[in-house]
Amino acid sequence: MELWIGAVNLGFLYAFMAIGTYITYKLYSFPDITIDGTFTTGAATASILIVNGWNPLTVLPVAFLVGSLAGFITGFIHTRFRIEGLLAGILVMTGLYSVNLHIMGKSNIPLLNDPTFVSLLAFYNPGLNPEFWNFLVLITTIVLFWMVVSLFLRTDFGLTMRSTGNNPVMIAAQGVSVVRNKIFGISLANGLVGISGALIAQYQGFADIGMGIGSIIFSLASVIIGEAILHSRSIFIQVLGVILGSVIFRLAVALALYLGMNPNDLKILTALFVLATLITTQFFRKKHEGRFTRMFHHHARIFRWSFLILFVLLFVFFVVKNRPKKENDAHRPRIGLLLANQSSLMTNTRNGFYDELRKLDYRPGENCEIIELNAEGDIPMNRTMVDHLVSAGVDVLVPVSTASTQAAITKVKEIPVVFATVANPFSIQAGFSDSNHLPNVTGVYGSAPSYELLKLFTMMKHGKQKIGTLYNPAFPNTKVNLADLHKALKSYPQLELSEVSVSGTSEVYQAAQSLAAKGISAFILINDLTVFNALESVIRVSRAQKIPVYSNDAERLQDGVLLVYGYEYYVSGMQAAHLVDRVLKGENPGKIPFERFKITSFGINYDMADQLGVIFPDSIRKAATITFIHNKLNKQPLVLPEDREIQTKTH
Amino acid sequence: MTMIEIAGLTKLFNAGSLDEVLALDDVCLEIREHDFLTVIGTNGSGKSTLLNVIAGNIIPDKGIIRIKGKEVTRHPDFKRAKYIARVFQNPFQGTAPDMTIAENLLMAWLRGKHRWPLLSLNRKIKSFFRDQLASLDMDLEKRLENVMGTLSGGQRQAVTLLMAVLQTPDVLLLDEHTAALDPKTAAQVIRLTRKFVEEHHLTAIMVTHSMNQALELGNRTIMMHHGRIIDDISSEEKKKLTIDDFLNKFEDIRKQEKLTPELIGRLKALYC
Ligand SMILES: Nc1ncnc2c1ncn2[C@@H]1O[C@H](COP(=O)(O)OP(=O)(O)O)[C@@H](O)[C@H]1O
Ligand SMILES: [Mg+2]
Repeated sequence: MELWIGAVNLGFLYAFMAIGTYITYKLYSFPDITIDGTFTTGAATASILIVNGWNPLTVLPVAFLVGSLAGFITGFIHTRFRIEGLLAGILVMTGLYSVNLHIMGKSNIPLLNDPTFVSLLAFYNPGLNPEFWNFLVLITTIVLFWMVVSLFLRTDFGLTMRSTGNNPVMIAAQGVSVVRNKIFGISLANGLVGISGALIAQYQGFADIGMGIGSIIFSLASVIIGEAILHSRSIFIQVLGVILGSVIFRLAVALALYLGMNPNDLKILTALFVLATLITTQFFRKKHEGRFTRMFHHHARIFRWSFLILFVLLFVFFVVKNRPKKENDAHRPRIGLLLANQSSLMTNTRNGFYDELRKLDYRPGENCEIIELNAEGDIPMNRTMVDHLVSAGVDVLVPVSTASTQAAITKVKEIPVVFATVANPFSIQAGFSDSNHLPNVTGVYGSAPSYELLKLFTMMKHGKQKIGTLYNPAFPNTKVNLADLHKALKSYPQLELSEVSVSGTSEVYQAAQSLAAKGISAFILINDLTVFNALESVIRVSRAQKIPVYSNDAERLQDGVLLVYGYEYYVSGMQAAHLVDRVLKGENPGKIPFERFKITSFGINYDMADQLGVIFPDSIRKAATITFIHNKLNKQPLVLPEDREIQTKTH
Repeated sequence: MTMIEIAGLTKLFNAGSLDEVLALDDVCLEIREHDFLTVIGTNGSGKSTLLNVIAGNIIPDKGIIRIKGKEVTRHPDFKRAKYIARVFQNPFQGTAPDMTIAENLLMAWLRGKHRWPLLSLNRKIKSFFRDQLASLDMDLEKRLENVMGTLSGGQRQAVTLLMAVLQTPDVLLLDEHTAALDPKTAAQVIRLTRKFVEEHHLTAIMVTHSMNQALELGNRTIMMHHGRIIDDISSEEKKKLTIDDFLNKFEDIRKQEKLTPELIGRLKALYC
């Protein structure tokens, strides 16, 4: 039931965006792609403000303003420079990606322990089921919103907006500036999209840089569904149709997840659906035949120029951003560090690497130099950055993550490469075995120990159990970890596994709910970047439905996971630092075997156990190396085994 | 009082390319208040361009336009809408097809005014609109809530005309507004045009393809050719003229510019 009410609630929250698209697409015949960026901008603005102590409701008008500003820019370049609407949207959307990253400061902001409108509502909950209480409040809000929007579109101003889209020649003859009017409409629409983003971020518990991708298509689908089910000339009915369309679309997503359909397939279905509808409406609208083609020809020059200018700007931007610092001292070793994104997976590896390098007497800026780059989640960008590091003349390249390592080993043959935090180097052809591998490559690897995690679970819960897991199949690491889980399951025939795949962080919440709806007794999380970034959503479901989370991710214990068993990526960074040291001292990387993670961590969360009503058996209490109790994380400092040996020898 | 003053107006389309057209060639014209000017001329002689330049849809290369003594040469169309109302040749251009008749009339009622988020379309204004529609004599007063797209071309043109005079404009521009209509409807729209212009004492410029209309309507007629005004006939002169006199004028042009007899035939077909 939660899954379906949750879907309806999501539909309400996305309805603000759908109304925005209704304004641009239905009133102005302008499919505004900007919203893919604006949605994230709204989420980013809201999240960063909330983290800085703002009230979750006062951030909404700010998200609206920031969104409208983005819309204003699209409208402005579209009308004033006569750049085709789609292209204007693409330009602004692309630019917004960087803006959003700057607003957030990293690619993901968790809001789990911050006040959101959800926690605000929970405070006033008279004792109903939380999701149902949310539903009651949201439906009241949405009915008000419906009335306000419909009435607005019937005022003199609203009628003028509608007439402008319907016949610009006529409205100009009545003394209305079509340009200003369009800009206003597009700004208004993007403001609503910003609100939608702000609400969704609060509802799912985080903002993520990639959460807006595909918004325009989903939103168009909602508008089209709405039009199909409630076809009417009355503006009240039309607006109602759009809201219902948004809800129906989210219910369809929930159904697809529930039925175990791959959401990646859902996307192509949505795209085909929208395409088919567009073609048919175009077909009936004979007088606009070939309008796009004609427009393209008419503005061909502007198209070419804007593309050119865009590329030049991008080029300049990256050249300036990644410009290597000029260094004349040839004897200082230069290390190139490449991270795939801003997740804590990467930053922990990085921290372990820096800390251990310092212990080995490398002082960046003094007796060595480290050039650090981050691909910000853009996979193709890794290759560009590897090229950049090579041309900067690094002595050793340290890619962190599978994606970065893959880019490094395919492009670099001369310079030593020391990878870290890779699940399976053999799957990306770095070698055949630990000792038989590429001549210039070595590194630290290890996949999550699924077997041990399942074993710990069976110690906690006996007998036949249903368990659930979710993951994004697009990541190669995930596939390795999943295969490992399947293998481990063979030893535990009493466990029945339900799987749900997701294609982005914003789907995790619904996916977790769909698992909960199947009656699982635990979430067993393998290492997966998407789920890692959206862990808050899983935790939210875990708390609401009292289903514990078991994870192979040792670093998220304090975020609401009941039990973790896995590697800390900090260790991976430490080990990589030792390998880099050996390579810089002249060892041949081809002769250094690949290393597995040397330390596993086992953590239990007493606070979460209290909330879920779980008791840890004594055997588990004793074995744990990390505990989280009374909001405090207790762990021993991490020391590599060799270091311990050296220390015992010297003392 | 002078309503419109035009001096040295020149417009060159596609300058520098093979299909360069001098659509207006140093046009000078003065139109006084309450003048009803009809404009005739060959196809492509610049009649529509002249109207578009007055309305602000096209900005001229050279020359000056003053309306009520105020220079508006470079003002965009929407800024001139407080003086000027228009009816286009294409009945689809003057109205918004997916909006109701009442909504279209409201847009015209607000011509040149600021639009606030107020619900002005109330019962009172609707009954006013109904009375106005009744004056069209087309049974449209019952269809206030119908969308414009359901009306015939003639009905739409009549409503556009009504919209143009709903707020009495300083200048009414009519560009072959009956050319796309069947003769019966055209006659009806012309009757309405005459009625509105007389009732509101409008200053109007009407481009027409019909010699009859040019002769019967208005107090002054100008003839255009190749972007120039080649004749300006006052109302006294007009009373004496017949359609044949007009055609003879074209004959004179032929002599000056060596028009082929075939072209003359086309002109006769056009204007008879
Ligand atoms: N927007 C335009 N671009 C290029 N040429 C134009 C444009 N508008 C009109 N013309 C040309 O200018 C000339 C005058 O056109 P117009 O004023 O429409 O003539 P008409 O007297 O038939 O109304 C014609 O040769 C026409 O092809
Ligand atoms: Mg014309």
